[in-house]
Amino acid sequence: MSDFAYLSPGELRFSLDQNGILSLDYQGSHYEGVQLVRLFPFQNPDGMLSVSVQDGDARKELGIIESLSQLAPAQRETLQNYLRYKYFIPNIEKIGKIEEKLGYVYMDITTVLGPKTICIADVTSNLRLVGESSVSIVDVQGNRYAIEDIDKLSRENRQKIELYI
Amino acid sequence: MFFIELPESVKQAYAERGVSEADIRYTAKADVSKENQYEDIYLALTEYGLCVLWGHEKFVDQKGKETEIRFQVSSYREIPLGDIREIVIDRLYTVSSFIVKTEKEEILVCRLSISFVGLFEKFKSRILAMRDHEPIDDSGLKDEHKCCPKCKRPYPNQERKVCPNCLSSRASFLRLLKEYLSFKKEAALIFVMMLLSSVLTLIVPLFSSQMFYDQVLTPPGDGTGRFYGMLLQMILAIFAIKLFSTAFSSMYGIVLSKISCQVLHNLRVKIFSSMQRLSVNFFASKATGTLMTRIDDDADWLYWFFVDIVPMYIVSGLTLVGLIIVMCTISLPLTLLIFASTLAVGFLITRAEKRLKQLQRKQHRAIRSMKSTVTDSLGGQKVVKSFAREEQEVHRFAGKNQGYWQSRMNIGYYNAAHFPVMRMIYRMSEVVFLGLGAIFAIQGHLTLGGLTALVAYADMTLNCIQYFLNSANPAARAMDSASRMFEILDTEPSVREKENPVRMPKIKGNISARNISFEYEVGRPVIKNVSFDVEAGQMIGLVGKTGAGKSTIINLISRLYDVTEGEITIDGVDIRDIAFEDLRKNIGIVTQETYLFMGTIADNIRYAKPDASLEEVVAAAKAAFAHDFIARFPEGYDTKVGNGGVQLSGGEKQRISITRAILQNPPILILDEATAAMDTQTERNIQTAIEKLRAGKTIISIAHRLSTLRDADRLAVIDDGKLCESGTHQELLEKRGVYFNLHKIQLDSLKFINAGGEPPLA
Repeated sequence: MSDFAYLSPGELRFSLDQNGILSLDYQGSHYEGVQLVRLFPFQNPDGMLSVSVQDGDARKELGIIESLSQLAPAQRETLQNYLRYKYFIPNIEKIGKIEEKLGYVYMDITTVLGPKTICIADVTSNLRLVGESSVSIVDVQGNRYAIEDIDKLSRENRQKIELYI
Repeated sequence: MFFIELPESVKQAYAERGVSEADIRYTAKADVSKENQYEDIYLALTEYGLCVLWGHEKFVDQKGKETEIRFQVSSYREIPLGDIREIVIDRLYTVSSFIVKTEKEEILVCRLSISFVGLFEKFKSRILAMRDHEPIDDSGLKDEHKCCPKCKRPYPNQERKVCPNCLSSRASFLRLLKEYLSFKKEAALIFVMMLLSSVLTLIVPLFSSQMFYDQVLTPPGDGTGRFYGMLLQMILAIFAIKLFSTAFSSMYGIVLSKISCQVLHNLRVKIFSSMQRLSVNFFASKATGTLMTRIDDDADWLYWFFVDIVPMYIVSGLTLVGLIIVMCTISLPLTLLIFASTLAVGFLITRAEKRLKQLQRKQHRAIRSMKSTVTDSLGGQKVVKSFAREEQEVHRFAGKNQGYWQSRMNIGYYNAAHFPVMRMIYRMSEVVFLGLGAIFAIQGHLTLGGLTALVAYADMTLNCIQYFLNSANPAARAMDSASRMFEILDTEPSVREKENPVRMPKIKGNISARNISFEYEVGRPVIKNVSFDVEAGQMIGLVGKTGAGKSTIINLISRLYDVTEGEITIDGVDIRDIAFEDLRKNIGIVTQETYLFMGTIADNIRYAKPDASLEEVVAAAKAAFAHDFIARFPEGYDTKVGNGGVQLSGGEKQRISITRAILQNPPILILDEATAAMDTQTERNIQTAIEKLRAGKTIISIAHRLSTLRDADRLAVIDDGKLCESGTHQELLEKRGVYFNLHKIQLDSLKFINAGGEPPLA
């Protein structure tokens, strides 16, 4: 069935620079600006990672890492740091005032990055329940926010957001 | 100043650090610090370097005026332009990094939310161009508004003049009222009738209760009972009043409906015609469904606003004033009691209804979710059956249905638990009031008629107060509708006709594109610095992979969009200067997707030239090889097509589209995959037809099948938005470049089909 080969975990040497840019030594070649993509970000965040490198003007997939657990501990930590950095979504911790104007919802939120006012258009499609209790929000500017677990919000905050789910 | 307007406080902060406003050429702003915290980071590009201010903004509301931004600087740095070696924008999932590399170090200047990336891509190209002293073309740039210029809150739509937060309901209301007041006479009539009808409503209890008990049924004595026993006259009088009041109500209803329908009609036509005026990108950015809602629902809301909400507001207002006066003359203490209790009950009811609305909203969502599951499952029945997943589908539906059932039950529970209690409170206050009234009556402060009249008025008071409390929400919704409508009326089309445009009724057809670039989305160029010339009477073929930008070039030539850099000229005149009518009349377009309007085939063919004779229509259809299939329909050219009519195949639609173009007979003809949906034989036929048409026409043709373009005078190969090769078929083959490869692949696959063998290795 499988038409693709996984990258051989023992030969992968990743390194992460201070600006969060990843490079790789693999089977005698050195690659700069390597990118990792979670192929199943919800179902399998720590496995099935597509590794791509710059090839002229285009990106080329080098191969797929089957699971992070196959890597040496130091390598695994490097990639976990990178993935955390790359897939970072501001998590909403507090919800302040919510106002609806002309079909746009203005929401004062406090995320891990600090407080901010966001504006959401077409709230039914841009504020969605993902899984059982996490919420994904996309604002008018295309920025993403998440509520990882609505049950962790205060009762008052939860009631505010439940109106829109 | 591109790309963002600096607030005064930021300008001042720069000036304090020796960077004057005049020095700043480009600006940008990011929102996340390198420590991953929200921060406001301003970047200014001068001829010497990149000046970065880190700090925090504070908004100070100026009461109706523009909100002031105060900026608290936390640090500052200047990176000399000459030191910059490379700039990297590392795009991540939600937050990207902006990294400047110098000889000595790599500086993570800031991080930015996804929405800022486009702007930073442009900013980056300006930094590099200024470092290398390259010329910069900013003619196609527009100011970026990430935030409303007035209130500084996030800005949903660049084309809006006013952000939703700044739109005041009052302004919309006044504007709407203006629309309404164009019917002055009718409006005055309505007002008079409303006044009379509320006066009559107030009088009825006076007659039917107070006079009836105190003057008609009470024997004469101490001034009362003046009309004792005149029962019939009294009943007739009440009857007459009721009759009058009903007559007034229905008359004013009739006049109001007439005016409102007229206003509604005017509004709908106004919205629709201003939509027609807008450019295609407006329609691309909004789902058709939303736009239909605007014409339909919003206009309906406004209708109700004028027919129902506003008149009832006035009537209730007048009635309430009348009630207070009449009731106070009967008994002041009882009136106060009635008002206090009705206000309290009204308030309780409103609160309960608010909660009920929330529950209804949840139910509405549950219904929608259930319905979409049904549509989804029934629409995919073939797939469901082929994978034998019927049971899972039933399970999925049952889950959604349970959600709906649950939400309905919640509403039922809530209703059952709250509203009877409120009714009881009101009834009890009525009993208290009756008891008090009876005591007053016994003590002689109040007549029996006065007491019964007050009972009748108490009900009216509750109705009036409840109306006021309930009408706030629909009124707000109607104002939302009004604002949305005015938003469309006020939207400026992004592709605009110039004032005093050049009139060119007859175009020769020389087309020339000079260094044109274009982007649909800021920072993602689709066409990059393309130049080409087509002489009048020539046929040029555009070749390239899917998504290379071929169709975009055509959209630019026909001015559905405007170029962001460079210019396109026809006969030496910039197309932005040519009158829309002349430009579009002289360019005929046949696309892959042909839209047929509701109507007959003949109507659709005549769309390009409404005054064409029947002979002309048939002749054009014959030339486009459409006649034969049209003639096979029992109703011939009068066959209904489009929504609800006969379904035509893709190839048939395309032939109708070509017929349209032949009938229009424009000097410039654009064929965008015009024969893609046809079989090879029909395509050959069409090509012969186009060959005949070609005389004296400039033709631009896009085709995937390279054989379609074999008659082109010249071919232009587009790859990734750039023009990479051009020349004749033969010249390009000899070049052995992109075209050669495309040609080889197609030739090989043809060989494979003919031989029926193994696929060749490309």
